[in-house]
Amino acid sequence: MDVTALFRHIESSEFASQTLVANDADMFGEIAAGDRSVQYLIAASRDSAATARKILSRVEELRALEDDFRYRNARDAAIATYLFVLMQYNRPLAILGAESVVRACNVWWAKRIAVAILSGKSTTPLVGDATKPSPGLHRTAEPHRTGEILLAARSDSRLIREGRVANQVGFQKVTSNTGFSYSSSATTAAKSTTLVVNNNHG
Amino acid sequence: MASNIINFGTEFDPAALKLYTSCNNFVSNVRPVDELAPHILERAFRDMRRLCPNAEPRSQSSLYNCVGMAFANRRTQVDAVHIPKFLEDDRYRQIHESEACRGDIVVYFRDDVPRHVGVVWEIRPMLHGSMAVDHWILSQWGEAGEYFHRRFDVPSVYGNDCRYWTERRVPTWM
Repeated sequence: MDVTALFRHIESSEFASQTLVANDADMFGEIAAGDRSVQYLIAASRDSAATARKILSRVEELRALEDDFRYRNARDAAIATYLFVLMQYNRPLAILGAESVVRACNVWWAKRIAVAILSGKSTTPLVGDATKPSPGLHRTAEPHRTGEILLAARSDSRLIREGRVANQVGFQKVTSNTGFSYSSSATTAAKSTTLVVNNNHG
Repeated sequence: MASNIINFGTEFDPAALKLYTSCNNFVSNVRPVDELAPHILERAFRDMRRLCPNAEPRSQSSLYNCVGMAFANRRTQVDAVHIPKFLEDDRYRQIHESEACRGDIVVYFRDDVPRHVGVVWEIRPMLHGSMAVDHWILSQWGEAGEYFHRRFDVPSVYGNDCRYWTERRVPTWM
């Protein structure tokens, strides 16, 4: 897919509007990751160093854009998304982008993602499960109330099996005689979350 | 460089609001300086109306989020992960949805993680003469604006596990 077309979509007000419902940086990343264009861009940046550099250049261009000084940079969501994209497979470039963005005064989400990158925090998962509904602009469904949701997989199962995501989001590997699982105390919610992992890969 | 990010949103960040719970615990928060451009807010307004046609807009500002609306008088943005801190320190108690009344708090959870918060605005009967009721909530949808909406008329990213809290006290003279 043409990278310019992906840029055009990510810089559109349609995309910005989609990310506006985010309540924090993690949710922003989650919404961005659910967008097809972002998924394509992540794949492209993983496969081509030239594309990754192009994304970094685009961050610089947008950051320097002369905009209406009364308002936030209209491409704020796009800059934040590009940093998020770089963060997935090109961390050194993400740090370069974040260092330039964190000083800018008319961006908001971009600054929050930049702070997360520079302070080494993960803001949401690697992009992954295409079978999950895109978290973007959908109305919530009424709950089924048939049971508890146990699996809070925040990325694709391959990565969880490899333990990378588990480490990244602070999950602890717990070994038992039936295999192993990852448990998390990463949230302040009352219950902890358990990721049950296929023990064939243990 | 480090000086730019150290203390971001903390008690020592001059840009953060001095926001404390009743137990005098600081709550990390961050304040955007600029509003979003009008054309983006307008687009968001149209998208939200398309998403939830029954939702009624109240106000549109990108300077605060749902937690800022519910717990900080619309002055700042607070991450949803801090909701339990407010509930505990400000002595909220969890109630069943059937006990909820106007002014109580509804928290939306997904995977047991708090994602969104709103204020119970109105409790309407679903049908004339019916006992079933429909909760109308006032909440700020990220930076997209404040809406009066039915309980489940929210973007799916917030989740659909609604739990209710109240800070109501029974006066001793009653």
